[in-house]
Amino acid sequence: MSKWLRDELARNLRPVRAPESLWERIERATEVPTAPALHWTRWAIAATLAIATIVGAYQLPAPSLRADVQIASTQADLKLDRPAEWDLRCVPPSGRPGYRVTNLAARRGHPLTLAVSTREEDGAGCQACHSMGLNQHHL
Amino acid sequence: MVLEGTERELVAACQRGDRDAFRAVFELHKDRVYSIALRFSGDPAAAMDVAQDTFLKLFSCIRDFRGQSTLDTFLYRLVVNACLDRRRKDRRLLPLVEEWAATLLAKDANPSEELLRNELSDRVRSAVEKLAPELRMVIVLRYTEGLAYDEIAEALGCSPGTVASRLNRAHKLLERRLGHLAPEGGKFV
Repeated sequence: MSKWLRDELARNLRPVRAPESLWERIERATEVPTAPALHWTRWAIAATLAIATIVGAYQLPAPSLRADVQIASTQADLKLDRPAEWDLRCVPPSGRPGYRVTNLAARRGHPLTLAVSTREEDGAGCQACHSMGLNQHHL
Repeated sequence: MVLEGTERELVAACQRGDRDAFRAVFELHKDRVYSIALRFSGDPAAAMDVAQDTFLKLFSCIRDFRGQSTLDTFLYRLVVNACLDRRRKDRRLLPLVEEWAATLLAKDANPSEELLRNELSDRVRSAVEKLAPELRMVIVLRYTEGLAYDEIAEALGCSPGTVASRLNRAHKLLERRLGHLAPEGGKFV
């Protein structure tokens, strides 16, 4: 090989300096793989919060009852002033109705369920319900 | 912060995920990597891509570096592979680029000696770029990096005899293509 060619190759293929922007490009490129991870983390947190909210809401206490329903610590008095509005499935006795409520279950999305055990005036059982073989009124 | 230290210490710091160590390795080798990429591809944009790919690959696989070779050799292998990968991806476009470059080079020469020299540089680089990739790479490693035959062989994963053979073939091709440009009586012809 001629010296001329060797010199020309050495001259024209000599090393050069890398552009200053090269490191910035590499840093930007290394940030890319972490972005989806953060993205997934955010989604995971959002999903967890959503599930916790749903579960928490499901287990929340029943919404406040109407003013004419009073609940004692273990038993409650159901004062029924407007039977039609309460949509009782059985007709309450005439007079001033009042029922002792021994159980109350409220679940979101379900009708409020009251277990009526006794009538307030005389302590008798709810004849209307018992005669029908029922022990619950669905409001 | 790792700014100085032996190669082993730098590699160990990189393997622990020390970003300053990565930066130090980058600063030590960036010109070498970029030069090889540029001389092999002949295109600054492609060289930036190759250099970026090379360092990203280095940083991602440095945990697997066990020190069987020097970091230089390890890096040479990475940049050689990145260049050849890039070449394979760009293969479809290259004939068009080469044709365009040949058209430009075929224009009438400017009488200015500087322009003549520039044109000679263009022709030399163009002739190198037209070499087959395996021949071009030995030329680049030999003339850009000044590597010895056994160092080139280690970087390419072949024998020194193969390197010698490829260099010989590359020199003959280049002499055939560029020989008519050699100066006669101190002038470029």
